[in-house]
This record gives sequence, C-alpha cells and structure tokens, in this order.
Amino acid sequence: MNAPLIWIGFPGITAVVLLLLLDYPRVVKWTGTAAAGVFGLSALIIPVEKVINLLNYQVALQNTMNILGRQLIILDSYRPLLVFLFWGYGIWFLLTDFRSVSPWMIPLGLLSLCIVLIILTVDPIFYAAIFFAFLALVNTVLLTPPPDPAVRGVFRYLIYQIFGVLFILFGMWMLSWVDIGSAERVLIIRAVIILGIGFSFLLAVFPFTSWIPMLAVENHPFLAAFVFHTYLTAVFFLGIRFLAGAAWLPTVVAIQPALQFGGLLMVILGGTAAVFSDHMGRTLSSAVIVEIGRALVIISFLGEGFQLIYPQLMVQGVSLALWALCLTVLFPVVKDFRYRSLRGVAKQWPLIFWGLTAAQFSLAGLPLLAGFPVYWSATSSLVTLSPERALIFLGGNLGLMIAAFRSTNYLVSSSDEENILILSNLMINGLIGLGITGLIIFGLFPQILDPFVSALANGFRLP
Amino acid sequence: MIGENLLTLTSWSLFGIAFSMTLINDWRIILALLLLQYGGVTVLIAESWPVTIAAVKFLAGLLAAGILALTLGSIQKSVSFSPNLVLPERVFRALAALLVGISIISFSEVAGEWFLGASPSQINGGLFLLGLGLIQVGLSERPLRVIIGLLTVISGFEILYATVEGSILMTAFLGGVTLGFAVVGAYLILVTLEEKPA
Repeated sequence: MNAPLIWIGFPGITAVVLLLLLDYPRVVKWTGTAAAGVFGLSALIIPVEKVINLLNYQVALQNTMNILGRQLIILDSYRPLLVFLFWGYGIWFLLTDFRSVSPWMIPLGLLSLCIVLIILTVDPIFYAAIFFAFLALVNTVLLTPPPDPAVRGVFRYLIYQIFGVLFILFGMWMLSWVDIGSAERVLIIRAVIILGIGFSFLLAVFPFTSWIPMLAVENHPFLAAFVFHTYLTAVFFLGIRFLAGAAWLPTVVAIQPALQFGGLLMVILGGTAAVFSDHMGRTLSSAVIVEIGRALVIISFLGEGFQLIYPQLMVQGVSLALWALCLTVLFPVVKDFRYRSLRGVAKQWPLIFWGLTAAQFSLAGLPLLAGFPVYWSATSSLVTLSPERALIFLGGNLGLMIAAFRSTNYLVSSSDEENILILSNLMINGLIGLGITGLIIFGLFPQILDPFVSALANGFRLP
Repeated sequence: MIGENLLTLTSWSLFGIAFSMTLINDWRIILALLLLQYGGVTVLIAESWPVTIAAVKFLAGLLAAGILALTLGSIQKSVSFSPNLVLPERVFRALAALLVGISIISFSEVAGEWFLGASPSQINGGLFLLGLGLIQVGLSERPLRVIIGLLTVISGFEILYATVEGSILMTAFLGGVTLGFAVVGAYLILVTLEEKPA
C-alpha cells in the first residue's frame, strides 16, 4: 500500500463512482462531502513511511508510486497540505445547494482535487504542467453544467490555461537542459522569462486577466468562486513547489522584484476595478484579482515570510465561499447581481446581507475580521523592503474597502419591490452564520491558525 | 531518414491546411483538414522520433477528429450547424493569416536559436500551426473553432517540443490532452446547441 494510491487513487475512484450517481444529488453531495472529510482525516492521522498497528497487522505506508518510470511522491511532511486541500474542498461540497448548483460540481470537483494532488506530487516536476491542461478541461466542464451553454469566459479560461501549460512545459524543459552551474546566464534568464509568462497565463496576471471578470459575471457565482479559489490555489502551490526545488533561482535572477511588480500591478488593477464595479459578481472578481496580487507579493518574501500565504488562502477560501453561498441563495430571486437590483436585501434577508458584508469587508482587510491580521502582516513585511510598495499594496485594500461600502449602501437602501420569500433551509442559514462567526473569530484570534500554518509550511521550504 | 524536400513540402502544406481551416465554413471539410494536419505533424515529428512513436500523434488526431465528427454528425440531423463566416470576415482572416505567415518566415531564423535540435522545416511547420491556431482561437467564440484552434496550437507545439523531448510518457500525455480536447469540445458543442435549437 502506498500514500498516492490512498490519497489520489481512491478519491479518483470515488469521483468516478459519484459521476454514475448524478441522478441522486443528495447521495452525491453527502458522499462527496464525507469522502473529502474522511480522506482529510486519514491524512491527519496516518503517518507515511512509519510502521503503524492496523488490526494487529504492522503496516507502513510507502511514500512513492511508480508509473512508467515516473513517480508520485507524498512525503510525510505533505500530510497537512492534504488535510488543507481535502477539508477545503469538503467545505465547498458541503455548501453546494442543488436547487441552483448542478450536482456535477461534486464529482468533477473531487476529480480536480486528484489532479491537483498529482500536480503537487509528480516527479519530475515538469510533468505537473501537463496536468494543468487536464485540470483546465475538467474545470471547463464543471463551469458549463448542462443545459447551460458555454459562455465566453469559459473559452477564454481554457485558451489562457493551455497557453500557460505550453509555456511552462517549454520553460521547464529549458531549465532542465541548461547547466545551472555554468555561465549560461542568458539561457537561464530566457527560461525563467518563459516560465514567468506561463505562470502569468495560469494566474491571470495582467494582461491575461480578462477571464476572471468574464467568468464571475457570466457564470453561476458559486461555480466561478469555486474555480477561482481551488484553481489559483493549485497554481500557487505549484509555484511554491517549483521555487522550493530551485534554491539557486534567486541568486541568478532578481525574482523578488519581479514577483512584487506583478503582485502590486494586480493589487492596483483589482482595487481600481472594484471601485468602479456596479455588479456583485464583478466585485467578487476584483477581490480575486487583488488576492492573486497579494499572494504574489507574499511569495516574494521567500524564506520564512512566504508562509503567510497559507492563512491568506484560508481566509480567501472562507470569504469567497461565504460570498458565493450568499449569492447562490439570492440567485433564484434577483434579476441579476447589479447593485441596483440588490436594493433592499438587508431588510428582506438580513442573514444574507450580513454574510455578503462580512465576506467583502474581510477580503478588504477591515480590522477585527479574518483578513486584517494577514494583510497587516504582509504590509508590515513589505514596509521593511520598500515603503512605497507598501503604500501601493494598501491602495488595493482601499479599493476593495470603497467597493464594500458602495455595495453595502445599495444593500441597505430601501426597495420598492414586494418582499419575496426565499426558500432557504436551516442548514444553509446555519452555514452562513458559521461563516460569519468564523471570519470574526479568525479576526479576533488569528493565533488559532498558527499551529496548522506551521505544519503546512513544513511541506515546502523556500530559499 | 525523411528527405529534406518532403519536410519542406510538409511544413508549407501545414500552412496551407491551417490557412484553409481559418476560412472554411463546412465542418466536414474542417475536420478532414484537421486529419490531414495531423498527418503532416506526424511526418515532421518522425524526423526526430521513430515513425512508430510519431504515429501516435496521427492516431490521437484521428480519434479527436472522429469524436468531433460523430458529435457534429448527430446534431446535423436536427439542427443546422455551421460557423457561418461572411465574406468580409473571410478576407480579414485571410489577411491576418498571411500576415502571421510572413512574420513567422522572418522570425524562424531567430527561433532556430531557441530550438537547437530542430530543422528549419520543423521550426516553420510548428510556428505556422502555433500562429494560425492563435488566429483561430482569437477570432472566434464558437466551440468548434476554438477547439480546432487549440488543437492546432497544441499540434504546433508538439512539433517543436518533439525536437527537444523524447519521452514516451509525455507523448502519451499530450495525446491524452488532444483526446480530452475533442471530448470537451464535443460536450461544449452539444450544450451550446441544446440551448438554441434551430
């Protein structure tokens, strides 16, 4: 028995079985959620490469699976990462409301998680790039559940991801071919530039950003937010894995300023777009763009500083999930998500209003909410490097804050329309309440996350 | 070893095939050209790899074209499907494709410095498909054209990548990507047409 079989093979089989049960959405939802929970729990308690007692048998889980000469390797230090991913996906599955979200999401989501795990564990690393093509294909189907037609944003997403994959494949081949110890600096820089373009495509770094607002406006908000969070998390983890294996890189190429430049560009772009947004989906996409920028800036700290990305991704996951869930509940009763169509939400559906407000302000970095400690730490680290860059970084937060106040203004203003009954259920209301409470608790006591973040950071160490 | 003349002819044929695909309306001809394109790709890759392995590309292309043809054929019974290019659009596409072709010819010598193991025919053939595939995905939002364009881009990349990487597993994965595109393309075509039946 080996670890990749348990945490990649079995979830893959589960996903295929769930695809056969799509006629029973409740079964799919609860089985998918339970499977993600159980696989996460098993990653928490079962060590790798250590002998354990299982029903009076002494067994040790091997860390490697060989496939045609290549390997999938899950080290013991990766287990917190597995817990993070399985439980993170599990939460999204739990939030899925089949009254407006297709049941396809759960098996395809589980399948995409398996591909993400292959990306993080395959050796040699350049095989990871090709799996992004498969991931993009799965997400394309996930974003186009029948009978909805494919929207422009889905095509744009697919096209950009494939270009990114091709650039990364070529860049990684070039790096494997160049002798790092030699004086072939030009070739190394050339390879790094190609890789940079590839990651820019995958991460929607400007000017390849257009698919994010297109998806957020044209697609179901829950599916769009799920893909934004899970896909971009996978790209960041691949980037971190690549940087962890290329300790020589910062000594040859000035990677820190490049990452900060790209990150700050995204922060400013997202912040500015948020200020002028008049659509809740577009505002969500602006927040995602700012989050990409923040993550790039945080990764640029390298060393110990980059570990801040883990709480950032957690806060992002909870906030986006809460935001998307609230929009999903509103989805059947509002004409669209333009601000003016959302007038009176606070009066008619106070819980949804509080959920939307908490999610937006948390991502904007309002003190006492979960985002604040993370963004504050990132800004503090950036100030020591360059106060000007820290100011630009804060500018993005300011943009999101203005957008949050603007949307709140519409949500609380009175509406002439009659009250519409939303057939919400106790569980969905409870989950929204739990999300709001979580954002407040993480904001007041951010140290709760510290042990988990330290464990996650053992997975990959940056130079 | 494949003759230099045949390779040169193949690379220019690929330009002609991809150029035609950007202009033609009939999906049957487009898919036939796609199959021919995979034949050309196989010939160019066979310069770097054994023919038996290079033939995998043709096989993947054959299956991809087959999947798309079966899907479009089944739709043809109930709804009329055509990318519907009008004359000014065709002229614009032709000019854009020619411009890309000319740019690639002038760029191919520089590209040779990046792909050290590649012959001029492979570089030209690969870049022609990359460039003309870009034109297709950039100028259309219809599922068939986008998928055909992406398959063209990947084919161009495969020619260039074959000159530097000879892994059989990677060949299998790239073949899998080609088939994945065909399946997802078929799915997207189906859901797009289900919404708006003729």
